[in-house]
Amino acid sequence: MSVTLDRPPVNNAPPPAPKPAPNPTVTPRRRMRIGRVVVSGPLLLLVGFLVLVPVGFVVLAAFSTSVPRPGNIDFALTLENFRTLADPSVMKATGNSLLIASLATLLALIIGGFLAFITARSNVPFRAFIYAIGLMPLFLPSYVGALAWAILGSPSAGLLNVALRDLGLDAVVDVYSFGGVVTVMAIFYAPYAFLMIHSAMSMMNPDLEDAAGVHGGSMAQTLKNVTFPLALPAILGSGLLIFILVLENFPVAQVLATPAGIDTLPTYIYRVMMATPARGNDAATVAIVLVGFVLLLTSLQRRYLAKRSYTTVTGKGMKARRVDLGRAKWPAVVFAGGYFLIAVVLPLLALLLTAGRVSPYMSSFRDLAAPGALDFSVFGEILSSAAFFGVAGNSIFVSVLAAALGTALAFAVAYVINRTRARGRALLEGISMVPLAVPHIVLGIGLLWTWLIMPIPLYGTIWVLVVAFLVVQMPQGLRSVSASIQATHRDLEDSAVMLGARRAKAITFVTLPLMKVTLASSFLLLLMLSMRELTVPLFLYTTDTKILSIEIFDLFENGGAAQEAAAMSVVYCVIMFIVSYLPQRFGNQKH
Amino acid sequence: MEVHIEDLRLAYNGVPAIRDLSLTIGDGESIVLLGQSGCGKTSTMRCVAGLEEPTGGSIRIGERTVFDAVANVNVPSHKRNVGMVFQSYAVWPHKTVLENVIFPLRMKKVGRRQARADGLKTLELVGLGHLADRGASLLSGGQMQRGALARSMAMKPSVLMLDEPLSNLDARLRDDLRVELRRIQVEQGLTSLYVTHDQQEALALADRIAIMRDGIIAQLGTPQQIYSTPASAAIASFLGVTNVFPVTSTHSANRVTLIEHPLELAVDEPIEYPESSACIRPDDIDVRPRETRIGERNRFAGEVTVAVFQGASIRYQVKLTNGPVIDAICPQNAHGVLAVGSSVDVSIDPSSIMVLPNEVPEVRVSERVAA
Ligand SMILES: Nc1ncnc2c1ncn2[C@@H]1O[C@H](COP(=O)(O)OP(=O)(O)OP(=O)(O)O)[C@@H](O)[C@H]1O
Ligand SMILES: [Mg+2]
Repeated sequence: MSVTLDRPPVNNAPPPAPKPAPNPTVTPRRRMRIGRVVVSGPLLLLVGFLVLVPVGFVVLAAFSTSVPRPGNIDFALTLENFRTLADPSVMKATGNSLLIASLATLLALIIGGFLAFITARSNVPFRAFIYAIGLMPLFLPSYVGALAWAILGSPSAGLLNVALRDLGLDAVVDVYSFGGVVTVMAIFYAPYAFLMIHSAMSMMNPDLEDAAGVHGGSMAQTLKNVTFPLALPAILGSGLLIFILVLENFPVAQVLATPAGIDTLPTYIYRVMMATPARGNDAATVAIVLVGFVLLLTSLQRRYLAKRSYTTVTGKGMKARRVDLGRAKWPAVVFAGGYFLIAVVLPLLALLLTAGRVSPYMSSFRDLAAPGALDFSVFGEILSSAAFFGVAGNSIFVSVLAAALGTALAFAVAYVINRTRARGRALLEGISMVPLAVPHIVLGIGLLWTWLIMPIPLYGTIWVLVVAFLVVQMPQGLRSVSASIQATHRDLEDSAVMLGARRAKAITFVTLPLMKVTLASSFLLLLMLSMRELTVPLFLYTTDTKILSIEIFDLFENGGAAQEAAAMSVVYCVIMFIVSYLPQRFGNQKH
Repeated sequence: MEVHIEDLRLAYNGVPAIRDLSLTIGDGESIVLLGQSGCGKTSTMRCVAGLEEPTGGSIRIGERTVFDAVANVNVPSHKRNVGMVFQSYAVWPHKTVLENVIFPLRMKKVGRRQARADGLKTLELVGLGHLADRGASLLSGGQMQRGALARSMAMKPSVLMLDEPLSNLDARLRDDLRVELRRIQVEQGLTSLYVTHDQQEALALADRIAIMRDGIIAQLGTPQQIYSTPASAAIASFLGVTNVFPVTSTHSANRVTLIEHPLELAVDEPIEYPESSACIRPDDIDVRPRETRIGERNRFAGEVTVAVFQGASIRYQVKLTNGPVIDAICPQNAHGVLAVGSSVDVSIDPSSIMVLPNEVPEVRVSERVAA
């Protein structure tokens, strides 16, 4: 799920406007004005350079005759490239993308919304476990899920089809299809809908529903007239979010749609970039279209959510009404169980089985009974191989550094935005949020061109990945740190200043220690995002700087080494689970 | 319609919140439930509305039994035709004011056009006609309260219940709306049950007041009755009688002695219950500069410790020699404001001393049962 977590599921509204800081000491006007540029200037330069240059190159390439190359940035502008949009294959890809995104969103909303409803508002049995089921697929990166489903549902050798044949049924499951892509996307994005709708439904003031009951509304009418309309912002909000995420998802489409000859916008961009000769200008042009869609949807989402602020939350004794499902109880449990099966259990089993299967071919599950058919020593081999440690080491090195630098940068930016009156604060915030609107496949291309051209010799080293991750995850870092700065009362820091500390001292002495826990959880969030990122490094890695996500993707894509790939995926899932579990623990400590 | 509650009991997870509550609200009558926080007022209403399932007892609205634990009757909330104004108003923020108000009509299958006309009429009644098409989340606190009231009135409820509907409003608005509520209630002849813990509100809105303590009704009566003859010291003190002193009897039936101080009081009524207190309204206590005249009943020497000028009156706290601190409110008169530290005489007319049991006997009994 390399591109999945790039927008945190909640909080799609822009952060509240920072309040002007009361200046504790009276400063002469002039000095203040200089000070106001001194703090924001360098940060603006740094963030602007990191973010705007790659994006700028993509835009430039879309409007010029050749792609940016070292020593040759072409400013010969043209609109010629836009002809490519009339190319039937681009039209087709656009149509496919929109259709897949619509259907997957609908399906994800149905799954997530239903699970949210039964866990938040019904007396369904095993509620806590079903809640966990709703979240669990978040731990599985979407491309690992896609690869696992490729193992399960390929029409010839897929495990499910083998099982069906064993059972004497001649139905065939084919995930290399439109339906397959839609289903897998929906399965792995459903948790976003689940999270947002669940929180809306459990925070609703129960009086609002009781009022409907008292005034003559039956349970069904209450649900229809009050409960669901009140959850509508969350339903639409998560729907738009999922639509955007599916639209720009590259890995799942690449694994499942490409073999079936179905192009989406991201896979099309990838294909023309990787063609020989690379058609960079065409890729950039199509990329602009993709960015356009995303921007349009993001602004729609903001506009919609800003208009509706239903205050449904109250502090008074909350006891949400629970609907008695009656006889529908067990079908609901079965539904949740079925989702658990296809989103978590089957994929993990498929990976485990593939890792342990000695012969790559299996015509029946009876083959597994043969002596020596299963051998899990591959895990031992991997965990003791130098190659694995090289790759895992790279992953950890890149992710830890990117997360640490990302948190530090986010703190600096968030501090300037929230706590100072520096000039250009709004601009700084705006630029930092730009990567949110740029699909990873596009950012990857922009970063590639940028670091090929820069006279700083980063390309080809592991550092280029660190810088790339820093850019990609800037919005998430900023949001998370901004939220915790806003939750830390500014008076605490100001009082240290009034007691005679310099501002820098006050920050290190008061603000940073107070934010220790929340900064740690921001760090872990960025770490997790970096660990699962696939699309952006795909453009930037070299054989020496492979990371885990790339290695797994490569092994599967090039075939042959399915056993290692599956084993590595399992190990990777374990690492991901640990990394994603930690922030939750930290997050919970705050309350 | 008449509402008849009998032996109502309710427990949350085994902890009793209502114990054996019986109450009859006459047709068109307004009863105010008055009581401290947590005594079970909201719970009682929720039982009548059908939002909680009582553990025992029965509830009848008009001729219809809506709940009976023994006969196993429990009419669901939406079929009881009971109106309720929630403390949080619970006006649906995703609908317009009018949509809120016509909801109960639509639920009764009233046609769209007819519902709209009726809804508008009800909104006019509460003075919200001009805001009918406004989004309900845009209303102010006072407007929301009226909206909630209109929504409940539109359904022509058999009984209207209001749970501290004024508690979220500021003091002035509260005064205005209190008067208006009473007007609407009387004009429409609404049978209503009103919850508050503000005694001013209770006195203004009630035909009868039911004082609730610990899940039962401790006293039921007209506002005048309750005010002039509270049933217990606890009720008296809740109603603003600030001088409450535990007493025991003496050799004489007309004298009692304070338990905590070596002081005797002349009273008109003798002690009836073993645990009783002398309760004296601060307005019934006279404070004047020390004189030499002696011999009057209930005249004590003391020293002013606090004097607060309140406009028309002055509030004193006087420490009696060898006695308690006593709270007095005296009209502005010839004495002017007596300075803190000045020696004064305090006199109390024996007829204004109420000797009351500390708790209503039933409350004590049921406590013993519970223990
Ligand atoms: N849902 C609930 N679960 C458990 N206990 C409850 C619940 N609702 C109320 N109680 C308890 O029942 C008792 C009566 O509560 P109730 O809300 O009826 O009081 P109230 O008189 O309305 O108080 P207030 O004036 O504060 O609104 C209290 O002790 C309260 O803690
Ligand atoms: Mg209450």
